[in-house]
Amino acid sequence: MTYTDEDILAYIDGEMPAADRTAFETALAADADLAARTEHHRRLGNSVKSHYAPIANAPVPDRIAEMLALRDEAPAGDTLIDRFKAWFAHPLAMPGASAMASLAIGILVGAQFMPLQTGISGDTSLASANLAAALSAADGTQAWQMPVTFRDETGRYCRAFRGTETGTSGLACREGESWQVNLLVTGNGGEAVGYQLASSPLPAIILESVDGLIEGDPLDAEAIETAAQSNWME
Amino acid sequence: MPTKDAEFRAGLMEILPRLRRFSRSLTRHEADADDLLQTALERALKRSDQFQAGTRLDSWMYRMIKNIWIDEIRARTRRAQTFAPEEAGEGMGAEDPTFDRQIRAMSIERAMDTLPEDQRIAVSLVLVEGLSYKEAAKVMDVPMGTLTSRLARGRQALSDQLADQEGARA
Repeated sequence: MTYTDEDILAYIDGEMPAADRTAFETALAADADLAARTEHHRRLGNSVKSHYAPIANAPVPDRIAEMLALRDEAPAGDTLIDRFKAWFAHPLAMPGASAMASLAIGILVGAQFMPLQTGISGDTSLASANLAAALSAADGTQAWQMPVTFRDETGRYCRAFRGTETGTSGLACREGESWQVNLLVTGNGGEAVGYQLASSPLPAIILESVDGLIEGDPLDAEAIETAAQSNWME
Repeated sequence: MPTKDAEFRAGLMEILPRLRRFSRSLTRHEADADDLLQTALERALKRSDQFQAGTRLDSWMYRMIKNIWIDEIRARTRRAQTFAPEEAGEGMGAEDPTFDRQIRAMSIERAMDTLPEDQRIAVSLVLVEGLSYKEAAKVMDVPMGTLTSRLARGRQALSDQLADQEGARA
């Protein structure tokens, strides 16, 4: 049988019914012209796909990411984010505030690419050994502070973290034996400018995410110690 | 308790990089793409109550981005007809100082540029965003047959364009 371009494309796109696929593949093996047309379209498709792929791996510009961090209207009640803002607005709670003032926001979801010093290892979103060790330690480490620890709806432990020197902060949740970094905001440690949450060591976007994920209240020091001792198993 | 609003925002945050890529492939221009994405997010936040939980947020957003872009194109065409008949959409890439990618990349960009809007949307949804035909047809509000024919014509046109460019360079 002769195949139209639409047939070829359906085959490449995985849209050809399974029943027709075998016949198509038999024809492919026997018909050099069909094979060439198929290969041509496959390559074209791959070129287009790979041309646009880097855009989905690049950090989203601040002004866009911030749109999702801010609320349209002030929440009526005592939401967690307000409580955090209040805590961190206290002078004693803002040792690194100026380092956080100038922020470059990048969002990491799933497999992404960020340099090692941000705390992500290689081309996955698993925490690097250094960050993972800090996440597993009840009190974090010198390099990584753990301002908020909580459990999400599914019972997983999650921690908001912050690099003391880098200004990089983020949110990681326990996945089995490792820590999955769900959100990462890279800070460049510049001087204080009028960033919206300059008084907070955690950017609004992270507090929003905490607010979205948390079930119940954040863990207190004792609960964190217990969780760390049980290796953060649910 | 996660609020509905926070969940909705978190959902958007998760698909943001893909939405940005889609905007980019429709507009072929970085600044336009981010403006488009911003407009779409504003609209989405305003209309979040219209989103039905349990349906696909990405498809909902793709459709919104597509609609806003089509409106924008129409407005541009009207402006262009009034003021500058030749300028609509031409040479946008060439004037962009950040446009220093490899020739190969430029070729794809230029070839995408020549597609009619309908075909470009179909190509973007299926080839770039990886949607199934069924999902793409839903986003575009067209029957499957229309989607597949736009997709086939769009890819053929891309192929012809790239061959022409290849020929011109040789």
